[in-house]
Amino acid sequence: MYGGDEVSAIVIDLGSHTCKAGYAGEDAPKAVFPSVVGAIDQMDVDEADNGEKNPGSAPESNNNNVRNADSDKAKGKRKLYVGSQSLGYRRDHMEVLSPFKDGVVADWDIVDSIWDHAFRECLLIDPKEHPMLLAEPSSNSQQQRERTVEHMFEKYKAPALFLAKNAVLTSFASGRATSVVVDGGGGSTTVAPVHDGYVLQKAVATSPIGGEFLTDCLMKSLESKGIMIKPRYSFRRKEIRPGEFQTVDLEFPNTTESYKLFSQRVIASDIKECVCRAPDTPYDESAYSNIPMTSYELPDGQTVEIGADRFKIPDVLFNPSLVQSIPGMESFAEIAPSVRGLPQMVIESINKCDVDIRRELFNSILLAGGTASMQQLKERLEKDLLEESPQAARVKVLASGNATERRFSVWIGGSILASLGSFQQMWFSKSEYEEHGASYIQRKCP
Amino acid sequence: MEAAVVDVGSKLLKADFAIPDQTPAMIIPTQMKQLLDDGSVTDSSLADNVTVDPVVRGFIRDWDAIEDLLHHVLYTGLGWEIGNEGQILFTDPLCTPKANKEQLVQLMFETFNISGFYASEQAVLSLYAVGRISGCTVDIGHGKIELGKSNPQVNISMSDVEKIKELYSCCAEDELAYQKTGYSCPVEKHTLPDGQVITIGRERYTVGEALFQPCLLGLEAHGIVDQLVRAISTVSSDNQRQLLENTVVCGGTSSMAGFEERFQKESSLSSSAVQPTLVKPPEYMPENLTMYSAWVGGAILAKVVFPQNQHITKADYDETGPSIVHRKCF
Repeated sequence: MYGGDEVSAIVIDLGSHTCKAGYAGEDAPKAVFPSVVGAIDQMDVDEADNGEKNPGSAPESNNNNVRNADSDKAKGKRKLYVGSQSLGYRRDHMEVLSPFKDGVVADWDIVDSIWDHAFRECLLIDPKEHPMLLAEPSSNSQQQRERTVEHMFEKYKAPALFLAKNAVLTSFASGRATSVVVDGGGGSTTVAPVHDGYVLQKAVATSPIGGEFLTDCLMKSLESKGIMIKPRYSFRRKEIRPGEFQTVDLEFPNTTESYKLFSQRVIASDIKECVCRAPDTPYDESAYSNIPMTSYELPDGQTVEIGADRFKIPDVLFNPSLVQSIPGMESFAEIAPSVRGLPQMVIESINKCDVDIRRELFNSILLAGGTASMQQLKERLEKDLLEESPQAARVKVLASGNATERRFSVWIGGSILASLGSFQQMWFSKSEYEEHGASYIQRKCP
Repeated sequence: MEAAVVDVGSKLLKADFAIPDQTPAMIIPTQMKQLLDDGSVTDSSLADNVTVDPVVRGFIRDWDAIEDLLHHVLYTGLGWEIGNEGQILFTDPLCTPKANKEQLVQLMFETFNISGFYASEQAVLSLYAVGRISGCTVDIGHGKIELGKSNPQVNISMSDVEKIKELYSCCAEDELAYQKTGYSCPVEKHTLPDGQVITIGRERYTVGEALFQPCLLGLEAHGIVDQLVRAISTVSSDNQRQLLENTVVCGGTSSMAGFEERFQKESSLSSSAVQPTLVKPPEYMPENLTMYSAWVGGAILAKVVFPQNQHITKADYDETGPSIVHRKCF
């Protein structure tokens, strides 16, 4: 009635690091942009109103009393900038904010501005004409779900809605009803067993070590070696003589620390993706101290040589205590002992499941997410699990060979699900919402 | 007969049969004048109020007007005969909503009774036109012009502004050269239709400079080369070099005098390890390829998809309906 060939559903995966959005039935999202936004308080900067509105700008957001109840701090009027292009343009006093706090939505205005950007700037659609399938974290609370439902039906006038757990969608993308999904995202890493299309909630394990954490480790490590990453906005090249160029530093004293960090992370993240790979065995300082260096050219023309960090940083996923040996990451040291590495997370998760399905789970360990796309990670995880799992278990770690599919597997699962003919009766329709209210989501999308 | 290739831009519509090494025979304005019911054209002083822009920022917005326009193009311009219509290939802007694509397919099969349809993205077609299948396209088309008057005495219309822009605008050699135009620069005199003579000085350079320094117009955005470099930096590093070193610039505005030299200069100053490199079109291609490179690419592609039956046929459409476009055109 809603999907199929008549009207394309929209699939949105708002992750901790990037938002993926596109049409159901397609093999990749149409839009991928940061899940953080730029924000300028209008009280601070009245001049901001003088400039012409940036096409990527979200409308000004106003918090009202109802929303203040959900916020720790009262926010005044502010202008939000959403999308790679708007965020990529430096502005005085612009903070970089995430809608999430500890994995939970804490700022619904930001979520709204992100959805608006996806619909109106990226996909160029009217949301009231398309059913919406939204991916959600496995541990999403009932309150968060109902809030999502209300926003979609009341503000966006969506004709129908469905919420699906990230892990279930990844499982779908690989054609499996039962699996253990290891999702290495930007903000965290999650291990979630899926059985017959449902997440086994008690066995879900989460670690704060995700791609962003690894990027920060790399940045701190480089800084301790005297390598400072210059944000793109902080320099420009100048031709001092024909064919001869020089880099000139630019001063922008009103740039916020959060924006500077965001800009540096973008570059450090690219370094990580280019040079890092999981080591075959646990990282050992002495064994790696003499390995050859790999070069990476920064945007300002400076070349950095990276050696042991190529293997040390990724190994943090497997051995979190390594963080303590990275200069500048001492603040993490106090909680490091309680964070488990990937193999332990997987085994503990499976051991919390019913004995009868453990064998099947060990046989279907799925890798998903951008961080899980790291080179050699699959091989390393498989090896560690073989060594640490029960003797009888037949361990199989599966990952798409295609980096795009691995990175976007949650979205792709949603694309498949929303385009299935048999799924069309499962939508939570607007009329059902009007009849039963937001709490009906628990019945429709268990 | 050859398939027709139609590229409907915000300002110009390019159309002809699929002969890739020739300039399209029809290059006409997309803007239309609205006739009153009695068929008379309104006074010229009111002309601006009854013009119709079927295409806005690349996307079709007025379907009735487009139908009239295409009717003129296909039957009058290309000589199609009712009952003997042919195949057609359309260019699509990036991010064309699915509903738009379906509506176009429906219009073509049901109103024009075409025998085959295909659509492809303008950016991809522009790469084909220069013999590339991977690369990056920078398309600077018509978009939107807002008319602002600094001299209230001058009576000037939108079309006059267009003409002046096309005749006189140019790019300064670099940012420093542009700053110098603030002190002195050549001045041109232009006679308006009503006989007034106006002088155009620094404005000539500001038009082009805005492409590289949007902040001149109060826009909070990066210049076009920075935008290119930043966009490419978001893709996998393995592909960045290939994309940047096969950069194609197209669109009418990129024909501005001095634009290519300035673009190349800004590229050498860009904050990127790999600097954008422009691709030169093959010598056998028509001059001024940038004006209609998407059309040329479409003509090349039409030579492939129609003979190889990769297009949407009338039978396909009748069986599945407009949504067929999402499965057969990509």
